[in-house]
Amino acid sequence: MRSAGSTASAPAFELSRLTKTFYPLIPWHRHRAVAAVRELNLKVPRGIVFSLLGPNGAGKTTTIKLLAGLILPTQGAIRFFDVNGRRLPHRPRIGAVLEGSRNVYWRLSPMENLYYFGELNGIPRSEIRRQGTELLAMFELADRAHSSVQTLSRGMQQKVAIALALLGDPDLLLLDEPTLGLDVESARLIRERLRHLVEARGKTIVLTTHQMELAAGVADRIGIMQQGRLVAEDRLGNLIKFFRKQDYELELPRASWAEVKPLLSRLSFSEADSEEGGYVLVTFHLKDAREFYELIAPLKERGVPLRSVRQVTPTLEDVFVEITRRYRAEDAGAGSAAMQGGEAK
Amino acid sequence: MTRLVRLLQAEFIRTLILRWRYPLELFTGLTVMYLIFLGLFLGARSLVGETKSFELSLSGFIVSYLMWFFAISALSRLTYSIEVESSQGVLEQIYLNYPRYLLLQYVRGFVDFIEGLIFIAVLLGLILLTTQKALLMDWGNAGPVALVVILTVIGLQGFGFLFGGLALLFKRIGQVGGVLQFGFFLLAYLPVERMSTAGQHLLYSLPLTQGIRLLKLALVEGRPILAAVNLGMLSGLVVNSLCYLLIGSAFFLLCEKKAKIDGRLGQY
Repeated sequence: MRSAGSTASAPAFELSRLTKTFYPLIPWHRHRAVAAVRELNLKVPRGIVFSLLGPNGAGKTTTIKLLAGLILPTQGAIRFFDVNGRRLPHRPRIGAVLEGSRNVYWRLSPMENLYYFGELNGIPRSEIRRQGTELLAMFELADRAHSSVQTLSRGMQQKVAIALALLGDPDLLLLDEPTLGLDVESARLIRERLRHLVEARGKTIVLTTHQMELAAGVADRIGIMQQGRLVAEDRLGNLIKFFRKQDYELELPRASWAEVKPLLSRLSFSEADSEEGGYVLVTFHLKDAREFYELIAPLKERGVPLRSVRQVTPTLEDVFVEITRRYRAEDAGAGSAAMQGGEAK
Repeated sequence: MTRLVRLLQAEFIRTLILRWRYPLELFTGLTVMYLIFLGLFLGARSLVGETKSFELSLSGFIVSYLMWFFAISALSRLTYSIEVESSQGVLEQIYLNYPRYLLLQYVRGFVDFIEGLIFIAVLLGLILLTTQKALLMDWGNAGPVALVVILTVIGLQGFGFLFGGLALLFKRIGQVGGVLQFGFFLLAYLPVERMSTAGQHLLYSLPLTQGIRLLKLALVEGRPILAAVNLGMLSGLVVNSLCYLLIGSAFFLLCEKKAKIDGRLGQY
C-alpha cells in the first residue's frame, strides 16, 4: 500500500520489479549467485531527497548503480520522466558520487577535474567555467580550485566529488554515502547544500547512508532496504507515527520508585540510573490507555515527586531497527512479507 | 565531429598537465628504454664484435626496437589505464559522463600515439648518438613510412583492446602484459623472412611483424614501400590491422557488457 504521504507531483523515476542477481563468472558456481535487489517497485517524485537506508549488503549501492546505468538489471525496468511527467526515451544526465572522494582524478586540481569531465559531457566551455566557479564557491573550495586534489583534506575531496556530480546541472543526483568519514562541519555544509539544491533548484536526490541523523535531517522520504527488498517506504513523519509506541519515561527519586515498584509490576518497564544522583529513569512500555491509567493511579495516590515525564518518540534509528527486526522475523516465518507505506504488505 | 575534437583537446590537456606535473615518470620511462637499448646494443657488439654484419644489422635492430616500444605502449596503455582508473574509482565516473568508453579509448590511443612519437624522437636521437649510425631515410618515402607506422600501431592497439576487455572484467592482469611484452620483443627481432612459408604465414598474421618488415625495407634497405612488389604486403598490413582493431573492439564491447552485468566496472 502506498502511503498517505506520497505526493501528487510528477515522478522523477520509477522502478518496476527491478531485480539484480549477480552470478559468478564460473558457470558451475551459479548456485553461489547473490540476489542483490529483488523485485523493487518504487516511484520517486521530482524535487525531493529520497534516502535509502539499510544494513550492509541490503542492495542500496546496487540500486544506485542500476539507476546510473553502471549495472544492467537481471529483470524489471527503470523509467525516467521529464518535468511534465512524460517518459524519457533515454536515461537523463545523472550526477553521482559513488566512491566518495575516490571519484575524481587526484593528480588534477578541482578546476581541472571539472573541465575534463565537463568536456566529456559536452558542456560548453564557458558554461564549465561559470558553473565550476560557482560550484567551488558553493562548497567553499574557491581558494583551493587550482591545488592538486591529492593535497586536499578528505572532506574537501568529497566536496570536489559532489561539485563534479552537480556540473551540467543534472536533474537527478545519486549520492552513495556522501558524508562518510567527514567531520561535523563538512557534513553539515553538505547537508545544507543538498537541501538548498532540492528547495531552490528543484533537484531530485537519491542518497544512501548509514548515518541516521543525515537521513532524518535531509530526506523527504525514506526507503528501508533489507536483503535486496524495499521493506518500508514513506515520509519520515509517517514512519515514526506508525512505530510510535505508548512508551513513557519517568524520572523519579530512587526511594519513591522502590515504594511503588511492586504496585506496577504488572506493567512492562525497564529502568536505568539517572544522571542525577538519587534518581532513577524508568521507561514504561504500555499497550494501551488503560495501562496508562494503571501507571498514573498509584503514583498519584502516593504523591510520588516526578522530576520529569516524557512520551518516548522513536527516532529514525529506532524505526530502522524495528523495521529490520520485524522483517527478519517475518522473513524467517512467512518468508516474503514486506512493508510499504509503514504498513505490512 | 566538434565533440570528437573537444574530446581530443580534453585528453591532450589532461596528458600535458600530468606530464608537466609529474615529469619524473616520463624521464624514468625514457631512461629505462634507453638503458635497455644500450644493454642490448653493447651485449650484441661484445658477442659479434664490430664486424660488417653487425653494422648492417644495426639499422634493423634500431627499427625493431622502436616498434617494440610502440607495441608495449599500445598493449599496456589500456590495461594500465583501466587498472589505475578503477582503483581510483574514476572509471565509473567516466562511464557516467561518457558512456561510449570505447570511443574515448580510441581518442586516448591517438593521444598516446602522438606522445609516443615525441618520446620515440628523443629516444631515437639518443640511440643514433650512441651508435653513431644513421637510418636510411629517403624523404620521398616519409609518407609511406608514417602510414606503415600508423597502420602497425592501429593493429597493436586493436590487439591491446583484447586485454583491455579482460582488464575490465578481471582488473589486475598486469602480469599478462609483462609476458606479452617479452613475446613482442621476440616477435620484433625474429627473422620472419628467413622462415618456412607456413611459419611466415603464422607470424605475419600477428600484429607488428608485417609493419616491421615494411619499415626495414624502407629504412634499412632504402627501398620504396609503395613499389609494386611491396603493395601485397602493405595491403596485408591494412587487412591485418583492421582485423585486430575490429576483433579487439568487439571483444572489448562484449567484456564491457559482461562487466556491467556482473557489476565489475567499479570493482577493484
